[in-house]
Amino acid sequence: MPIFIVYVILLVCSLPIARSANALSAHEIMQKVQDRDDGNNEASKMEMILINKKGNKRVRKISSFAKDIGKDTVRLHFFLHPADVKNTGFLTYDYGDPEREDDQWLYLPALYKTKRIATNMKRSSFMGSDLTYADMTSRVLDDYEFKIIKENEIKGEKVWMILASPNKKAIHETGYTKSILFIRQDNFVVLRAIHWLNKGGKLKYYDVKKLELIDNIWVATETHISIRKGKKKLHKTILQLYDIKFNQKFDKNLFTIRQLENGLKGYFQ
Amino acid sequence: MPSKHKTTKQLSRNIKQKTGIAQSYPWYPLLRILIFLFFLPIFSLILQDPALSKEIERENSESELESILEGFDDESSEIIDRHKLIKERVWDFSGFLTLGSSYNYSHKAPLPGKTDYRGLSRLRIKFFLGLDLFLPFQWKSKITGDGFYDFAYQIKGRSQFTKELLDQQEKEFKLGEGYVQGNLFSNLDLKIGRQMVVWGKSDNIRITDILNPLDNRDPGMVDIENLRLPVAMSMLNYYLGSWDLSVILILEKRFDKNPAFGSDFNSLSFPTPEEKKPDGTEYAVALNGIFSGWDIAIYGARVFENKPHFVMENGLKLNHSQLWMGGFATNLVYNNFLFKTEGAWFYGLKFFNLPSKKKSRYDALVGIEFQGFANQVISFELANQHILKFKNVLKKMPDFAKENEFQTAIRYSGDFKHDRLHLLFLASIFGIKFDGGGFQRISLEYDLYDSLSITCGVINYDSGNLALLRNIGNNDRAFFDIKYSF
Repeated sequence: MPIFIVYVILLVCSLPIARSANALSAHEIMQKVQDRDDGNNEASKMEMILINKKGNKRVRKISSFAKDIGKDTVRLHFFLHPADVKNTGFLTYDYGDPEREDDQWLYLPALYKTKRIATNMKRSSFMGSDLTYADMTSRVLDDYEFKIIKENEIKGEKVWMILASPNKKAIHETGYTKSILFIRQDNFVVLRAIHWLNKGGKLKYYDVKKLELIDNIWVATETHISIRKGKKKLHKTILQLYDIKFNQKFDKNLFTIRQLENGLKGYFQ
Repeated sequence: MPSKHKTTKQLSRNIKQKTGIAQSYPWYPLLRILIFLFFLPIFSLILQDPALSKEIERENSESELESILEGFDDESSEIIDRHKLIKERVWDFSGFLTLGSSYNYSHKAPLPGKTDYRGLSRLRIKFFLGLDLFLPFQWKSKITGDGFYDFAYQIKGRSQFTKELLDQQEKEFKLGEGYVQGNLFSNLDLKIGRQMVVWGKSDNIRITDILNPLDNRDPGMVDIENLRLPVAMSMLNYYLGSWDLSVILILEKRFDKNPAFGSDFNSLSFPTPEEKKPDGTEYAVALNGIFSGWDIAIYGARVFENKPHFVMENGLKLNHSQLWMGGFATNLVYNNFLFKTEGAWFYGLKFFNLPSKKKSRYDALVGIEFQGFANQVISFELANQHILKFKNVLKKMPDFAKENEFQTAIRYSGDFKHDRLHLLFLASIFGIKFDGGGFQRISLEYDLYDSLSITCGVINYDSGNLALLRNIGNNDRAFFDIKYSF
């Protein structure tokens, strides 16, 4: 074969292969994640196991209620364990309008007082866990640039790996300088995430271990969140949800300061 | 069948063909070299081409990504028997047990016959028990009790302490809250019994928070929130949209507990005079509005003043003025800031040196709280009490009143190590020039386990020109507590 043809073949082979176009863009995928039906009028119980690097464990138990009111979400949590936070209540109004600040109140039974919380600081840890308040509320997609890194598989399920690059406002709010999200392609659930923390060179790993279909809603019933620095695991939180019920008939007065201060009608241990 | 292998003839024919080409085009080898040299820079450009460079960069970052992905472990979750986890019960028993100690390091050696306040000032076992009962129709009941025994007096020798101090500080067992609460109608709640009702928005200074008296026996040692004493009341709450109207009938007359004669926080040189039990009805009303980003509350009350004044009635006695009170409190959230204001007007204040007159007083507070650092809160509050139409005779003993009494409070609290470590700093000082006296307290609490915590800290007292704080400068203490909660 003439050497000339060999060179042509080499030249052609060196050209970048055009990536096959995805049906959805990264932003569209994230919009679908945001818009995914996560259920309404939800009641659930939550247990968090906090594990430090020495393996010592602490347990947090919470009874939770959530309701969508239009684009807004209201949540009410009652802390049941440990003893020093028992009957503490946390009420939050998460507004869909990004220009509107969320409202949050904390009822401290030992102080007989409901305290309003300035909500801009969502980097704070939720009950000492590796979850922050930012992790528990919805994000403003316009504060991020998204890019599909590649497609992958997790436990046999196809996922998109999406790089999320936040703007300054989102970095300040969440404490994450960038994130990689693993989105399941069939149901748009975030199966895994890696967040780069803006301090200390640490990474936060978010890993859904159990995903269940409850009343036609996909629910992460077990999630492991861990903080690592290099190969060293600094802290871990195991979050488990159970007794999950949707479409509950909530009393109209449930998500109020009145209920926050009155507590649960019964005691759950 | 012809062989699949090329015969020698075929091979030699090929060679001849090539040789023939070479023989026909002698410059052919040079052409090949030139073609290679021509394409070489193109190959180089391709290699440096962003697309191809990105490909290589991508390979490098992929290996970095693979390394990062190893952070996901395959650990299986703990097997938890969920059925045992949460059970609904109709009762809940809770409480805590503490062993607390404090050591006074600033007092000097006393004069002969006087109390030696140096060294160990508290070695106290304290318990708190609470029982919640969940009744039918969403009613509930609560009853609490607490008590303590302080070994410090036994260790140091009881004889050097006054009887009043030993009665007040050596041991105590008492009922705390005891109430029943529930809905009368969908928008109407009733709570009747011994309870706490907290007014106002401030965490450190009381302006409108007047319904529950305080335990001031160890000033500065305990946060104001933990000092309130329950009072028997009957409270109706009516809810309408964002508003809540409370109407309260106060059924028990209970007042501040102050340091006993003989305490290093009591500057009196004589036993505390008898405190008269006042006659009269106490009642209060509050209107609370809670909105997005802000709250407002308006208060009114007819109550007896917690702080007594001296009267001469068959000897020196303590009396409590009956006051009219009107006030307000607001909260406003903006970004990481929480702005607070409180204001109150009191009428009916009486003084020893003006027995026939009733005076009015305006109290005001402004405060700001910053929550911009993760798991940390800083607050600053400034308050003033202004007596209207002040007379200089009120400055004299035993009133020692001031026309203006300023108070500043600074608080810092932080949670670290995943809520294991709690740091608290609180400073409270009186006087516009910070010369009225006050204290600064710093404490560190560490959660050994969910149910067990230890706290240590230091509190520094400053004497000042405020009558009650004139001689507290030597009361500096270090303290250490262990607490078991259940």
